[in-house]
Amino acid sequence: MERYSKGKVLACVVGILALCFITLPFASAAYAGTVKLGLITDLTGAAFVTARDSADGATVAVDRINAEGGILGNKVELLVRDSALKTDMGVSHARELIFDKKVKLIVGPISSGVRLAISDVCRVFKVVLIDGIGGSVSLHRERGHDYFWQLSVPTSGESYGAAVGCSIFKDVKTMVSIAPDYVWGRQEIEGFMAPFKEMRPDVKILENFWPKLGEKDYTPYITAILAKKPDLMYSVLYGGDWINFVKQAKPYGLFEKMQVFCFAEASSQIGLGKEAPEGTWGFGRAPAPSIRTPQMKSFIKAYKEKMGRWPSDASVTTYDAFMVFKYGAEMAKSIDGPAWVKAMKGATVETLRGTLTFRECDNLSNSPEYIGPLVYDEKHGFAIFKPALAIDTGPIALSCEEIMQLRKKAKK
Amino acid sequence: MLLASVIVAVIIPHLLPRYYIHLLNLFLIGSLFALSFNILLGNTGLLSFGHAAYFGVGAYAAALLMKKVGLHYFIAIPLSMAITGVIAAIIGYFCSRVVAMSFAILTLAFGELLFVIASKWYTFTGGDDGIQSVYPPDIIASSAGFYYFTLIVVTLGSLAIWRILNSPFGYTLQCIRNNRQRSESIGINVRRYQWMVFIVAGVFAALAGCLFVTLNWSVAPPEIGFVKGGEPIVMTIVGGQYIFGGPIIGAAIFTFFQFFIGQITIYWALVIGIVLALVIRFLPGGIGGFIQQRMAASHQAQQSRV
Amino acid sequence: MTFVTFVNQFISGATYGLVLFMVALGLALIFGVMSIVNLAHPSLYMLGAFFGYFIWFSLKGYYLSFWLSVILAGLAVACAGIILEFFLRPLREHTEQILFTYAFIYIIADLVKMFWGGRYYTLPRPPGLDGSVTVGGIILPTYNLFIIGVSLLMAALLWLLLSKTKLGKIIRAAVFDREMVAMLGIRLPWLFALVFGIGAFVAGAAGLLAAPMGSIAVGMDAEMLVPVFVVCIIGGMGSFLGALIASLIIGEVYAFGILVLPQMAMAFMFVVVVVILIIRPQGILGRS
Repeated sequence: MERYSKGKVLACVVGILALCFITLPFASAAYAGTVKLGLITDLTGAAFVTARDSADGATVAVDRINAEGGILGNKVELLVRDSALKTDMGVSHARELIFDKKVKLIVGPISSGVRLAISDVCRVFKVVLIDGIGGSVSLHRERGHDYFWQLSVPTSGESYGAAVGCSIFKDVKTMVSIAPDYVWGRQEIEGFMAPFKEMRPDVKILENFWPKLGEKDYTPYITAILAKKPDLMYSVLYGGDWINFVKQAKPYGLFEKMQVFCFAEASSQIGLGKEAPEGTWGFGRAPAPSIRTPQMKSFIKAYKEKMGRWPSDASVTTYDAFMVFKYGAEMAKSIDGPAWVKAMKGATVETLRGTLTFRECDNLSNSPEYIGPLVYDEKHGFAIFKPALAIDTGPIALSCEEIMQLRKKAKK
Repeated sequence: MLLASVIVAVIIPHLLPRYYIHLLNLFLIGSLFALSFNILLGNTGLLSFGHAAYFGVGAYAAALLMKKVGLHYFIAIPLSMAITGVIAAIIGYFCSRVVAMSFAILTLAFGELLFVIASKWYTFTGGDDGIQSVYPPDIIASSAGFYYFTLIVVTLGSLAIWRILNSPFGYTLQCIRNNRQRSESIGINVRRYQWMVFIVAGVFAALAGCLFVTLNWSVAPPEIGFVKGGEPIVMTIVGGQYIFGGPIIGAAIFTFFQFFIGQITIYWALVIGIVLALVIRFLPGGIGGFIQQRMAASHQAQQSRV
Repeated sequence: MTFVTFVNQFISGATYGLVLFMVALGLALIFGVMSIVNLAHPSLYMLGAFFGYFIWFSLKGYYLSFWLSVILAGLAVACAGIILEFFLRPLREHTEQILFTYAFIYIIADLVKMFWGGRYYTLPRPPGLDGSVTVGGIILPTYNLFIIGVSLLMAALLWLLLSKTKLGKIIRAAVFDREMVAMLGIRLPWLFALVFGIGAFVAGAAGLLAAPMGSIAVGMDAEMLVPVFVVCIIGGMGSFLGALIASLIIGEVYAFGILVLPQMAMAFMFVVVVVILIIRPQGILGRS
C-alpha cells in the first residue's frame, strides 16, 4: 500500500462522498399531489418468479385505481423496490419509501423473514403494511401489530385447508408427506398434522420427508416414498422444486401408484404445462382461472392484456392488497396510517376472492384456502383447479386471547 | 483540509433528511466492511468470495448475545468480534493452505456452508426468518446519535486497519502479495501469515456486522451468503484496491448507486456487473487509483515546471 | 439402505456428477490451453439451457428437434463465449480474470432475466428416452442413463480431437510454447477464440441436455458454480481425467449425502475438498 498523503486521500474521499450525497435529494423525483404506494418484493433471487407476478398484480391494481379516479381524488403512483431476499435491502427500501418518498402503504415481499423485518419498521413509523402473500404465522401472531394486515392465507390456514382436502379421500389408509426443510415448510406440515389427525384418525402417517429447499435431486425421496407404498402423498414442494420432483418421479410411475395432493400455485403449474401429472389434487391461495366471479374474470382480462401472461396466486392477492388500501382510505377519508387503521379495524372488504373480514385483535382476514382436482386445460395451456372449492380457514385460527399471550411472551 | 472534513462529518446529520442519514450509515458500515476485505485483497493479494460470512456471523453473534444472553450492546460488540475471530481462525486454517483460484472457491464454499447452518439451525439462529427486533441502546437510538456512534466506531476501526497495514505485519503481507515464492525463500512463514491476516480481516468484518445489525434491527442468513460477499468485492475493485481510501470511495459509489439505480430499474445487478467489468478492464486501480495517478501526474508536472 | 436404493442413488449421483463434468470439461480445456479462469462458465451452461429451450420451441414438431436444438444451442453459446473471450483477452492475471468473469455472472444472469425471466420453463424428455428400463427389478430412468453415456462420449470426442487431429496437435503445442506456435504462422488469437468456443459449446450443450431432468430458470448458474469449481480444484485445474474422477466423487458424495443428512449434503462435499487439498493441494491430477 503506497504511503500516500493521508490528507489528499481524505480530501478526495470527502469530496466524492459529498458529491454523492448532495445530489441525492435531487435524484429522487417527486410528483406533487399524488399518493405514493410502495411494493417491496424479491425481484432478485430464487423467489423472483413469484415476485414478478406480485409486482404485475400491483401494477394492474394501481392502473385500475387511477382509471377509477384515484384515491380520494388523488392520482396514485406505484413505487416498486427490490429486496432481493435480503433483510437489509428490505429495511433500507422501507425507510427510503417511508421517509424519502412518503409512501402511505407498503405491500410486503415474498420472503417471510424480510417481511418480518419490514413489519418492524412499519410498526415504529406507523405505516400500513398489507401482506398479500401469506407465509409465516409469526407475522400476525407474536410479531403482529396494528399496522400489519394479513390479507392472504398464512401457513396455519393453508395447511388446514390442505388437511380438509386430504381427508376427502375415504379409501386412503396410509400417507407420507414431503416438504422443503425450512421454517415455512415445517409450519405447513405442523399445521397439517393436528387437524388431519382429528379428521381422519384412521389414516396412518408413515413418514415425513424433508428435502432441502432448492434440492435438485429427488431420486432418494422418490425411491423411499415408493418403497413405503403409501395411498396418499401430501407435498408442499413449490416452484422449481415441484417441477423437478415431477419430472424425476414420472419415469418411476409415482403418480399412478398413489393419490398426490400438492401445493399448486400457478408458477409451477404454468412451468409444467402439459407435463402436469394426471389425477393430482392441489391446494392454493388464489387460483385465478378457477375462481369464477365477474370481478376475477375482468381482472384476468386486464392482467392478460397488460402483461401478456396469466396471473398467478401472488398477482391476485397483491392486487387485492392495493384495492383494500383504497377501500380503507375511502372509509377513513384519509390516507394517514393511524386514521386508516382505526377505520379498518374489524372491517369487511370486497376482494377478487370474495368478501373477507378482518379480525379486530390481529388484523387476520378470513381468506379461504382453495382445493380441487388439477386438470390440464387446453385454453390455458396448464393444469388448473377444476373446480376450486373454497375452504373456510376460520376454525383453525387461534383465539384472540392466545394471540395476546404469544405477543406478551415475545416481548420479554 | 482535515478540519473541514471533520466539521462536515459532524454537522451533516442535521442537514440531511432522515433517510439519507440511514444511507450515510450504510456507507460507513460498507466502507469498514470493504476495508476489512481489502486487507486480504489489496494488501495480501487474496481474493475471498466468502468474506460476508464474517460480517454475517458478527451480526448474528451480536444479535444473539443481546437477545438471548441479555448483554448490553457495547459489551456484545467486542465479544462478537472475538467469536467471529475464532470461526475465522478455524476456516482460515484450511483456506490458508491454498492460493488464488482454490482460495477464492474455498472461501466461497465455506461461506455457503455457514449460510446453510444459519438457515437450518432455527432453534438457535431463527432459521430463515433470522433474528428480529434488535435495537440499539437508548443513548444512540436517535437518528443523529446512531450516526455519530457509527462514525466514531468506523473511524477508529479504519485507523486501526491503517496502523495494521503500515506495520511490519502489513509490509510482510505486501511482500507475500508481490512474490510468494521469494517471501518463502527469505524465511517468511507464508502460510502462517495468510492464516493470521484471515483472522484479522474477519474480526474487522465482524465489527462492521455488529454496527449493521443495530442499524437494520435484524439479521438473516442472506447476510452471510454469496450475494452479500459480492458487495465488498465491487466496492474495493471499483474504488481501488491499491490505495487505502479506495474501498471507502467504492463504498460511497456503491451505496449511492444502489439507491439511485434501484429507483430506475430492477436490473441493478446488470448495471453493477457492467461497471465492475469496465473498471477491471480499463481502470485496474479502480477510481481511487485513477485519481491517485492524476494527482501524481499533475504533481510531477508541477515539479517539472519549477 | 436397500440394494435398490443404493443402485438408484449411484445412478443418480453419476448423472449429477457427469453433468458437472461436462461443464468442468469446458473449463478445464480453457484453463489448460489458455490459462484463463472463467467464473462465468456455469452461466454459459444456463445460457445453453435457455437458448436451447427457445430454439426447441420454435423447431417443435420437426423430427429430431431436440438434438438439433442441442447442437444449435451449443453453437449459440460458443458465439457468446467467443465474445466473452475477446473482452477477456487483455487481462493476464488470474485475479483480474476471476473478477472480470465474476462480473459477467451478474451480467448474463440479469440479461437472461430481462429477456426470458419471470417463469419456469420445462422441456419434455425426447421421445424414446422418456421412459425407464427395469434391470433386475430396479427401475432406472432411461434419460439418466443417456446422460451418463453422452457425457462420456463428449469427453471421448474431445480427447480424440486433442490427440488425433491436426488441430488438436496445434492446441496442445500452444499449451507448451505459445511463441513457437505463433512463429509457425498459426494465428494465436483465432486459435484461442476457437478453444474458448469449444469449451463454451460443451457447457451450453450440457445445459440443454440436462434440462429435461428438471426445470429451466435463472438460478441454474448459481447452483452449478460451487460444485463445478470444486470439481476442477479437486481434479486439478486443466486435467480432463482429473475432472472426470473428481466429478464422479462429488456426484456420489452428494447423492449418498442426501440419504444421511439432506441439508448438509454440501458439507460432505466440503470434507472431501478439504481432505484432498490437504493431502494434495494441486488436486488429484493437477500439475504442481
